[in-house]
Amino acid sequence: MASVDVTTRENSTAPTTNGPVEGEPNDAMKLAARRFLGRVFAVATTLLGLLFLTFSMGRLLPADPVLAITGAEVSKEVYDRVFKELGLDQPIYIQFLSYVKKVLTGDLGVSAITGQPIVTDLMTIFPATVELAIVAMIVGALLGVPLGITAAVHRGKLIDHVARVIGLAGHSIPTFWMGLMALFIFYAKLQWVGASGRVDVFYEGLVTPVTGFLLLDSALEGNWDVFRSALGHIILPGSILGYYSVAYISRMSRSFMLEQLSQEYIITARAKGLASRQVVWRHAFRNIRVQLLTVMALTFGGLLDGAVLIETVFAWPGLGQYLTRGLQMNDMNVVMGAVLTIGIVFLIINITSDVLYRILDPRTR
Amino acid sequence: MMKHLLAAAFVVAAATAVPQHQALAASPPNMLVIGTNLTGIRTLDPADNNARTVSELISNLYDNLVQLAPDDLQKLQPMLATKWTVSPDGKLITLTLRSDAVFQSGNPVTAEDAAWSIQRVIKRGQVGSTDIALWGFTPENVETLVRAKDAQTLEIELPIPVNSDLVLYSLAGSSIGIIDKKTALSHEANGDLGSAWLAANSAGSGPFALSQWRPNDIAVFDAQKKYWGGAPAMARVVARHIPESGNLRLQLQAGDVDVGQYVASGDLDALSKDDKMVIDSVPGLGFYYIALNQKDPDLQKPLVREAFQHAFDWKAIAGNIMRYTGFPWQSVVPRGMIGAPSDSTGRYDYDPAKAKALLAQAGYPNGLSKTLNPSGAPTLPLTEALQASARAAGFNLNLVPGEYTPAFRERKYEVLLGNSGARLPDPFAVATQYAYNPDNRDEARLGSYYLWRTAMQVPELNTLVDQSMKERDAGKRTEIFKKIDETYKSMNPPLIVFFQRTDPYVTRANVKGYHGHTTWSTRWHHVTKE
Amino acid sequence: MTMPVSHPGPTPSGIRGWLLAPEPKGMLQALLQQLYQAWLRFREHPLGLVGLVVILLLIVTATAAPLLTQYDPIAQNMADRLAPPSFEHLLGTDNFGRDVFARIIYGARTTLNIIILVTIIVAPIGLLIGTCSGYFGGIVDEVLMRITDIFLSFPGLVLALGFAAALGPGITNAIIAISLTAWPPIARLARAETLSLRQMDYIAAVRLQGASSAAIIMRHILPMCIPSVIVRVTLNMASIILTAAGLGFLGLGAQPPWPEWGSMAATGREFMLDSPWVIAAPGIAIAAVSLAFNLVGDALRDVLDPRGTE
Repeated sequence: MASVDVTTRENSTAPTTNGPVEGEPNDAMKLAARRFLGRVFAVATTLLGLLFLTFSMGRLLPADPVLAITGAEVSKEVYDRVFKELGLDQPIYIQFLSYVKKVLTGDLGVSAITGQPIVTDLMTIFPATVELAIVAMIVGALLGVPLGITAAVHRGKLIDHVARVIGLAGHSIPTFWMGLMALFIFYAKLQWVGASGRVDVFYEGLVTPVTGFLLLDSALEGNWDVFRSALGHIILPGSILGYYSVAYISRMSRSFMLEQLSQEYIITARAKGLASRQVVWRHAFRNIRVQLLTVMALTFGGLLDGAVLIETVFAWPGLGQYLTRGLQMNDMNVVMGAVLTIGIVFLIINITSDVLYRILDPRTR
Repeated sequence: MMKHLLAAAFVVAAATAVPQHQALAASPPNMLVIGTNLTGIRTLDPADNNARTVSELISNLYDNLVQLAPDDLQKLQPMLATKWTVSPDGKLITLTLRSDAVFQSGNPVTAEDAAWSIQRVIKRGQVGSTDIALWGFTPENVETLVRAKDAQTLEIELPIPVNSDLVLYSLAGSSIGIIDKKTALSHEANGDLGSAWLAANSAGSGPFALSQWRPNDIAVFDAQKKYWGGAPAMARVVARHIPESGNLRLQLQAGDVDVGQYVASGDLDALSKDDKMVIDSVPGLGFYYIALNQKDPDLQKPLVREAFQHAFDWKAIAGNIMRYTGFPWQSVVPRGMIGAPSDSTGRYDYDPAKAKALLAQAGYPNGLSKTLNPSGAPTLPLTEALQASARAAGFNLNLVPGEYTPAFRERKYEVLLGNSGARLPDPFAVATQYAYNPDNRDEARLGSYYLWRTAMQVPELNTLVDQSMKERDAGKRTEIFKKIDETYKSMNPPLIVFFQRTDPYVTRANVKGYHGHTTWSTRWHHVTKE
Repeated sequence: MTMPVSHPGPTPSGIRGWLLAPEPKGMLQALLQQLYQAWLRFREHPLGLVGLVVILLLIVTATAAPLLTQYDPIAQNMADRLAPPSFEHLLGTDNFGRDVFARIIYGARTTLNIIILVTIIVAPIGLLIGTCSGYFGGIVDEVLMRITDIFLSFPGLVLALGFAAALGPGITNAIIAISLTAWPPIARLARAETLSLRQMDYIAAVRLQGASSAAIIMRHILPMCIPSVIVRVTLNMASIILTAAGLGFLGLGAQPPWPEWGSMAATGREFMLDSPWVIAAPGIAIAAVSLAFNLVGDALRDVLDPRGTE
């Protein structure tokens, strides 16, 4: 079985119990139920671990959580009162428990730098990152899949090597550096694309956010000026982020395709004299679609990682920029909230891709 | 599937590959786009702010009673108050308000609103109150001392003797913007005097009203057509968070942004060669300094402090890193102000040999190791320069970058390089920061006094600063500030001043009437675009 | 992932013969044989060899840094700041008038430092957790693998960023932060290896002789896992380098004035438009080294996992 490659990104929710299901159907049901419960337990403990990690990260930060709320000008009395209110006089495990309780009720605290609840901030910030990641994923697929398949078809030849270097370069050149260079060339010199941010400043606030995805919102409203401006702004960071994932996507496509090309039916089809292109795209490609879908899902998680730096370079008002600014300003709640969000998204992606794979792939069904 | 992918690729390529120069052309002629740094602005409530960027934003939402001319800071000009008188004993200031000013809600601006706004600043007790709290106002006495005599007359009674000029100057600060009492109170929650609502909404009588506010991202202002001073030429002003200096510079050059603030020195150098750009370095009321924490036993030694005076090669960076952000200045009385020396740059010369000798004399023949922090990212290059030059002078400074202003306020640092600013156009404002510390205990938490932050207390200086606040005679005040400067100079201060601050504003040449203000109350009312 | 040790044909003599002997005598020979076999296959990959050369170059540069440049990488000279590349300054100077070439050369040391230290920290931790998990199984396995999974459920850079910020800036803290994110894959791998080793006869034999669990793990299981762990670390090295550069870029890497490529790129962006050499040089350096590791890793992957090639 062509398992999901684990070299660039780990699939964290690998099943804890392996092996085929045997025995009576009833036993199979029981086993499935036990397996399901096991998975739920695994996810729950992972989540708890996530919370523990973010909590300790927040406590380690050299920031005074009291001053974050009161502001710097604070009298001794107010300081002590807030210190107590925050429960900072309590033992650490009680603080952790109350943190978990708060998070479970959807309370991530208030940001010291924006003065808003973290959840409110995330509402506008998260869609910006997702939009960027989606564009990146499209770019990554458009580049990576054909690259990998071409490499597979021409295995061992020069094209294969070139394709490999092209892909790996995307995974080797620091994204922030590529971003700066691209801004230099495409914005400063050529003026082909917009600069930083999601849209030109003077288009700000012209579109009412419905989905939070600016491209979608502006298209829904029929405001094509804003749409064009937004597209001009997203294309550069999106492409660079997408290129970052090309190495992984193309390597996966290549190895999936190689596996297909060695199958009996392909060899037969070729022997029958079907055009090579037709064989590859009509038959082999069809069979690796599901696997590619899983790969794309996993890529998405990695894109969130890459977005941290890309957003900083392009002043993209998303999760990554939010996190780095929180780190630089020692905003504890922002750091904890952003890291937790990214962790949860990562977890969800891992679970879905796993489930997706199980449901869609006929061989594991 | 591949076909679809290809089709999608084609659409994306077609939409973007077309040079978009025309589509992305400059900002519209009736709109001003300011690229700035909005980090740390949590609220637009005037009473809760005193920092630079936010002061400018607030100054265009709220009118003050009086204003300071950008070109002559000591000259008070009318704003909401058309005239003002000071009683002969200097204890009562009476201001007469104009009758044609209205808030954005349509309510008329009355003396009651003005009195309430001032009371509110004191009652809130946030950073905005620092200036006027010095005049003796407390939450208990302010309601009786600041009062509306009638709809158009405001009386301010001073509880302690204070130079009335200082009081009037403080009224021009953005924290004392006049708020629509009725509107603000209609949004009051938990007795916050409307603060939560004012954080993201405006209720002023200024030429602009807030139409959109996303912290750390963007603030959009729409012109008030019925402004008493006439409708502004700019229908809309956008302040956009562009923290990347390189990005900001590109957008200035492309015409997407009209005014750039906080442009880094390297980009300023480049922009200075662009004839479509104008760089205006506005002198500020603050300094770049090295702070030495006196809680540290090594730094307590006067000889060590003196060694630091000769460990910084400030001349090497004056013409490049500091070219637009400061000029050499080594006195705590800002240049050109009363009591200021004509030249102060001969005080601390870079002399590594002398510094080494002083260190040896202090008992550190093998040098001294300390941790050095910048106050934040903008002062990082200076700390790198300091680190390098101090190494030759026997200091081994372990530079840890980051945001250290909070630690500075909490006295948790060893050596810090930072910059300061003030809004009152009088040496007194700077003297309170650098030479005043009424209570040196940790619990006092007097973080707004820099001398407290260094944990040093000099009773003599406290007295002098007090005197400078009360004294009404200009000649005598000059003498006081001279004396403060002398005392400071001779005591090997824990705050070593090397540069006086200037704030560079980059404007596109077609933008007229945008003048960065020394007290940060830059107003956009008269801005036009050609 | 274990290598086929058998080799057809007549037995050659000498070192090569020893390396290709069909029946290894002792652990060391077995281990070296594995490595030699791998090398024979690795040689077939030209791109991998190119990568290997670049990595060797990095090591040489880092060790011989003072011989390669006459300049002090931290000496400032404000009078000569932002000078373009010339014979005097091969890659120009930066905003403090420091020689960029010298900083790149000495920056290689920083990079090599990170690589070595992360490996030294990560490999033993990953090995220990993985082997214990695999050997003992049951509740130990459950708990350890759960912890591993938790660390794996964060994107690497985000986790490293969080910890680097929490620990404060500085190269040591950056290394710790990166290590915290890099050990879980190693542990996973070591566990898988252990699971297959545990079934082997000779382990059972040792156990019957009364050896303690600790002894079995330390003497018999752990050493067998080392080769594949090293390969695995190499595979991850590119992303470790990129993470380190990212931390440096965000101001959480090496402390000034010591040169580190990521932070050099970060300060260079202010001067990018007029003095592009300040940012171009470190960017290319990072890209070259991480591409080298990627190429080597890719070749190693083919060597060890023949599915892709055969």
